[in-house]
Amino acid sequence: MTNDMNRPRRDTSPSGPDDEITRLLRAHYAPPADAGYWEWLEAKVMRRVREQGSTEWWDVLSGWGRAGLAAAAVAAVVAGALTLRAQDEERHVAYEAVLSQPEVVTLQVRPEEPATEGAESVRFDLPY
Amino acid sequence: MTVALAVPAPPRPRVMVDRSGDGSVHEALLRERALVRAAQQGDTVAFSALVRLHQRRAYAVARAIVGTHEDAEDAAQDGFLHAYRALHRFLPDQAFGAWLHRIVANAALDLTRRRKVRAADELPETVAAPFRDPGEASHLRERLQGALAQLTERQRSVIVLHDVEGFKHAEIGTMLGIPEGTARSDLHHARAHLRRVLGGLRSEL
Repeated sequence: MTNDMNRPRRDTSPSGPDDEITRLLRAHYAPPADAGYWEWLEAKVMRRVREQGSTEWWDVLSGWGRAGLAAAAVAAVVAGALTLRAQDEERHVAYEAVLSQPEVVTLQVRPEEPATEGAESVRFDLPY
Repeated sequence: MTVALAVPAPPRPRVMVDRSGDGSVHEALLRERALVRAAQQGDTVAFSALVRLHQRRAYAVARAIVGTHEDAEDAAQDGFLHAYRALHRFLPDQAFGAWLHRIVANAALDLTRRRKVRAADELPETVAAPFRDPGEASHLRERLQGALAQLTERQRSVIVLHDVEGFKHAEIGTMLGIPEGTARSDLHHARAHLRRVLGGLRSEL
């Protein structure tokens, strides 16, 4: 037994990787080696994250604004409806009041001092 | 931004790989979880630390899918932004890296779809120029680009994610939203194609 047994074997099967092609692929897809690039990328990601954070904050505020406007509109509609209903009710009550008046109107005929002979005045005594 | 070229490197170790065997993985995991928890509570400094930890890998995932450096950069940023928005849905017992990679892959796939719609009928599908490696003969680069352009986007993504980035078939399947068997088959076809097209490569090296 030799130490060769412990070495990773090169995959030479037809479906295995080809070392030279793999080397070329690695060169082709090599990421930037400059540390400055990665610092720049991190900073860029974080700038976008923070921008998104502030956007979300404004979104929340504008969301509240939108909700407030919607609530105000609903309140206005409800208040309008209530006012109309109250007015309608008032009219209805007044109408009912009129209708509930006694149907019989008493008439009293009171002779007054006749200004001229034979003339009479008629006076209505209404109960309201 | 102008960036320096990376010299071809061996597969990059994953963030949590324990090479020392002294439990540093466990510590790193605990540290990462603490960062995630803090970020979930709105600590942007903690999120920034998570970005620093994962951005290279996130970029690599995006790059494997979108193909170009510029798009990979955009997709990685979008991915981080999506992750930040969805952070409250992340469960602490999940692997943050795997979760993030899935999000970045989605952002990259989304970007690819948008680019395709925009560029429909305008340009033939090409593999954009990578960073220039001065040590690499230009004709080899061209041949590789030509061979890659003949692969489907998915095959290209799979071979890069597997052979360059070292992801497993199942992980690739999850990221690309395909069954593991499909990832395996794509890898097989992509390797066979590149081997066929770049067959005479050894004699030129």
